[in-house]
Amino acid sequence: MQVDIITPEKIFFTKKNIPMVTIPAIEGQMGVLDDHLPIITFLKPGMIKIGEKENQYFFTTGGVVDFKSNFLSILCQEIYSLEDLSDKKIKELSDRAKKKTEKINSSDKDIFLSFTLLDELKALQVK
Amino acid sequence: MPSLKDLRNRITSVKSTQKITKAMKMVAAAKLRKAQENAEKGRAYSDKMKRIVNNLKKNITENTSAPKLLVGTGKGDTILCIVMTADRGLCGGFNTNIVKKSKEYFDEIINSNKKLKIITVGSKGNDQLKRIYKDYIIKKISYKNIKNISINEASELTSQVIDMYYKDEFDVCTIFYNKFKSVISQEPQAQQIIPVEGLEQNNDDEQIKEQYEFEPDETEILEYLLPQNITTQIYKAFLENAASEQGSRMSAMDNATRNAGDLIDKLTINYNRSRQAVITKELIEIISGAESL
Repeated sequence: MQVDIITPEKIFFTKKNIPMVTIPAIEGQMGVLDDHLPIITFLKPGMIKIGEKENQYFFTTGGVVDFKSNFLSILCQEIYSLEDLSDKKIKELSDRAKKKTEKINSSDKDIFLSFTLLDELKALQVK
Repeated sequence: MPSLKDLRNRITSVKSTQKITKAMKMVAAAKLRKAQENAEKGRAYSDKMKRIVNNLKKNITENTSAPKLLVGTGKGDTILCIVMTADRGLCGGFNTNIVKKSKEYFDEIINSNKKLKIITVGSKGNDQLKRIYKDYIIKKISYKNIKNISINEASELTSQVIDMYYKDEFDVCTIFYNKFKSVISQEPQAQQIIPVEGLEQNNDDEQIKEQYEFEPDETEILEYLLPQNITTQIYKAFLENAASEQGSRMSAMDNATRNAGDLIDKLTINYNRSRQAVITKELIEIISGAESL
C-alpha cells in the first residue's frame, strides 16, 4: 500500500509498497495491512510504525487516518521523526499538554488526549 | 517655469524613489515564490481534510445528534466576521479590496437587523474598518512580529472562535481573505466556516459513501475533526492571503517603478528643453549685444 503522511505545511512522508503500518488509533493500537477495509479513524498521541521488519518510527500528537483502496493517508498537525525529538522539544510538548490539562473549560476528550500525550512523552524520555 | 536646479533635484528624487520601488518589487518577488510554494504544499492537507469531512457528513443521517459545528445553532442572529488583511501597506488594492468586500456584507447584516461582531486580523484592515465599525470590532489580532505564520497561530485563533461559539456568542462565522489566483489577480473571498458549508455533493462521491467504516462512530470523529477542519480553513486563508499580499505588492511596485521611469523621461525632456532655451537666450543676448555696438 502507499502511505502518505501529510501535515498542513507539507507532505511529510510518502512511500509505496509498504506491507504494514501500525497506528495509535483512538480505540487502541491498530495494524493496517494491504487490502484493509476502507476506514476513517483518528489517532491519539503515540508512535506510528511503518514497515514490518525494517521499521521507521514517527511520533505524532494526534491526527486523522483515512484508508481506501490501498492508500493510507495520515493527516496530522504535528509529526516528528525520532531525531527531531530532542529533550527540549519533548519538554516543550509536555509543557503544552500540561497546560491543557489544567485548563478548566477543556472537554473530557481534550484532557484524555493531553494525558495520553504526557504518558507517551514520558515513555520516550525513558528510552 | 521651474529653474534648471529645481528640475535636476526632482529628477534625482524620482530616481531614488524608483530605486526603492524596484528593491521592494524584488523582495516581494522572492517572498512571493516562497509563499506560493507554501500555499501549494498546504493544499494536499486541506483537500484531503475536506474529502474526509465530506464523507463523514454524508453518513450522518440524524441531524439531532450531529455536532453543533456542523449543523449550526438553528438561528442566524449574530454573525461573526473575521477580516484578514496584511500588516503592511504599499501593496496596491490588496487591503482595500478585502475591506470593500467585507463592508458590503456588514451593511447587509446591519440593515437586516442582525447583530454583527468583527475580528480583524492584520493592522491595515483594522485601521480602515475602525472608522465606521468601531463599535462592532471585538478583537484585533496582528502578526506583525511573527515572520512565518504557522499552523499554531491558526489553531489559537480557532480555539478562541470555537470557545465563543460554545458560549453562544455568535451563530454564523465568515472569514474574509484574498484568494490567490495569479500574480496579477487576487480575488476577495467571503467564506463561511461555521457552520461548515460549501461541501459539494457530487454524484461521483456517492459510490464511496457506503464503503467506509468508521471507528469510533461518525459523530464522534466529526466532533474531533471539525475544529481541526476550521483550523485548516483558517490556515489556508492565511497562506492564500500571504501569497496574494506579495503578489499584489509585486505588481503594485512594478507599476510604480514603471511610472517613475516615465516621470524621469518626461522630466529629462523638460530639463533638456529648458537648458537649450537658456543657451539660446544667452546666445541671442550676446549677438544682439554685439549688433548694437
